[in-house]
Amino acid sequence: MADIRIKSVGKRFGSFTALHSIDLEIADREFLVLLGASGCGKTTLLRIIAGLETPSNGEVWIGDRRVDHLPPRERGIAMVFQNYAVFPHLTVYENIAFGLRMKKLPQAEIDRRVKRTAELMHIEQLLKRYSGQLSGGQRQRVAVARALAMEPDVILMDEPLSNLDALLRLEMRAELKGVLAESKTTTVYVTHDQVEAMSLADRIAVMNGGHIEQAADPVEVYRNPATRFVGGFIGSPPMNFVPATRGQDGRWTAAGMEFDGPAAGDRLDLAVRPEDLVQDGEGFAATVRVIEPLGAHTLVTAEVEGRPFRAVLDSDHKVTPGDVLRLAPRPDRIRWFDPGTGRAA
Amino acid sequence: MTVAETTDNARPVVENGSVGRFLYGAAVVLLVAWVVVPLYLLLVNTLSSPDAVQGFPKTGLPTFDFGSVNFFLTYDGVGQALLNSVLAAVITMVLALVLGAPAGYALSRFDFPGKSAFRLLVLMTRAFPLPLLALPLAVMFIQVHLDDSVIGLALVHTTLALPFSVLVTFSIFSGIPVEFEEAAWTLGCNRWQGFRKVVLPLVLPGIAASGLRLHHLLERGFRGLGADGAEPDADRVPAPEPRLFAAAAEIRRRRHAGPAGADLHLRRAQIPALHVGHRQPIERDPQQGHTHADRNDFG
Repeated sequence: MADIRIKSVGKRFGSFTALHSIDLEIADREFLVLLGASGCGKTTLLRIIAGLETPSNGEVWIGDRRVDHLPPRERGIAMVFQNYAVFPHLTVYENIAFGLRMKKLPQAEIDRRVKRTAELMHIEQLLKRYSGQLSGGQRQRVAVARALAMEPDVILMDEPLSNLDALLRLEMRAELKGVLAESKTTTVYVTHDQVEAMSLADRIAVMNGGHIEQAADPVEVYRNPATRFVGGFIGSPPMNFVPATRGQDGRWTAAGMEFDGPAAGDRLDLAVRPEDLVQDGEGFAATVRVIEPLGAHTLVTAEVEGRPFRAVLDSDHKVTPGDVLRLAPRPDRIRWFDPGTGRAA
Repeated sequence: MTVAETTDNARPVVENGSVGRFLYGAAVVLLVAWVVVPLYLLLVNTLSSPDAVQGFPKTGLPTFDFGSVNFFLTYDGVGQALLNSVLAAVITMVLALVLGAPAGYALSRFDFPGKSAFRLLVLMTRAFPLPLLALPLAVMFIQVHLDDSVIGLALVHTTLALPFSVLVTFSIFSGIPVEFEEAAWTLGCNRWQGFRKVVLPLVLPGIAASGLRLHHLLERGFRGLGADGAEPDADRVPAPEPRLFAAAAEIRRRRHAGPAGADLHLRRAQIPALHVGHRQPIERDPQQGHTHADRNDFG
């Protein structure tokens, strides 16, 4: 077990800068998820930790060792790949034992670890099979078992569930969380799926354009996004943003409603999540465009002063396109962002 | 924890019905016949007299006339030629794969400036007419005294086979996900161990197949570069590349002009037998006025 410290790590591919001086600390036994859209640099950062990419600048520490100059095999890590990378010419047993044999462990110890991790991942009946005889979920289990058997300081996972279908992903997600919690290993997990990130992580680092926008626990990221990007990226549907201006009296006006707000600047964006709206005669005038009944609730896409505005309403509410709803944000759930920098005000 | 069973089903190894099995079996038989029948016909001709070979109707069975085989085995230089053939073929295949596979691997795994241009250049070598490549090679070989040698012939064939070797191995390596190697590195392997323990077992069948394919291509390789030491005299007609052969011989003649040229030793039928069993060397018999090929001596 070990903590990870990433200090001013940057990565350039020719003229393209994939990572801009990243600083991040991951505590021992923490489950950190790197979350972001495609091309944001999350996989590059993971690969730099693994030693599969060389940083253009900066330092990577695992435990008390600086590792950015070390090859992957000397970093005390194990990695689960998006396509699992289960070796097709080896049986499941030999796949799990592969790294143990490289460590030249005694056969009895190899047997013990293979059986233990196979039992943990419920694949003990598959040990004699080859990769081609396994389903996607079984391969994923083998890949995780292979990583766990190494008893590494750090487990790195690069979108390990993205190749599974939705139902299986749901099942594997819960199982993975249990197994990794049991192993008490520091884990860095890359995904673009915010639900996966929210459900698995002790802490989420949201990445955008080679920067970490925010690294905090899932609820904090959801409730108090540090930037407008995070507010728009996390949550389905995403946050609503309404331009606001400050009046002479210091109060903010947004779409005809007045609010108390930060005492900084003249223009800000008011942000509120769709589920934090209540119907109120004094609220924003929202013209309903689309209604999506989702069972427990209804997703309403409307327009407020010509801008898209979404609300999650109780499914008991009868709404039809063209209706004008009065939607007011819950005061304690309003957030403010500087439209210039995108940062929370 | 529960084991996911709803949508996560293992892949059955074989899931064919009786019709599927029949079609599969029929396809296998057809493919085997495609290879074996021509070999059988060659064997029948080899073990039959020239009359039986040329006669009609065919029985499809050998007459067990060993004349052709005896002629082949007792013909002057055949043994040496056969050895030379085997040596040249083996050296060529080894060199082509040893030199070509790393290039194919590099093309498949690494990004470097000029990669696309390099691939195009490799391919372009196949677009040149062989004499364009062969003539400078002939000159160079004669200058460095590599002509008339097995290693010289192997080098020539290697030169011609390399583009094929590079492109085929590139394709084979590209079929192996790079994550396999990366997984091996994270599991304790260095680059060489990762290659040897993970990539090599996966690419070996493909490389073996490309080696065989190389051998087949060599059959089409040019002959008469001069490595066999023969000249375009009335005693012998180099069928595939007469102009090339003549040019190479002319170079040799100039080089050996004078008393030294008189020492030029003509080792008949040495290298043309590289293709024994694939294609007949065509040599005129001065006494009978027809070729050995006409007589079908080599089957």
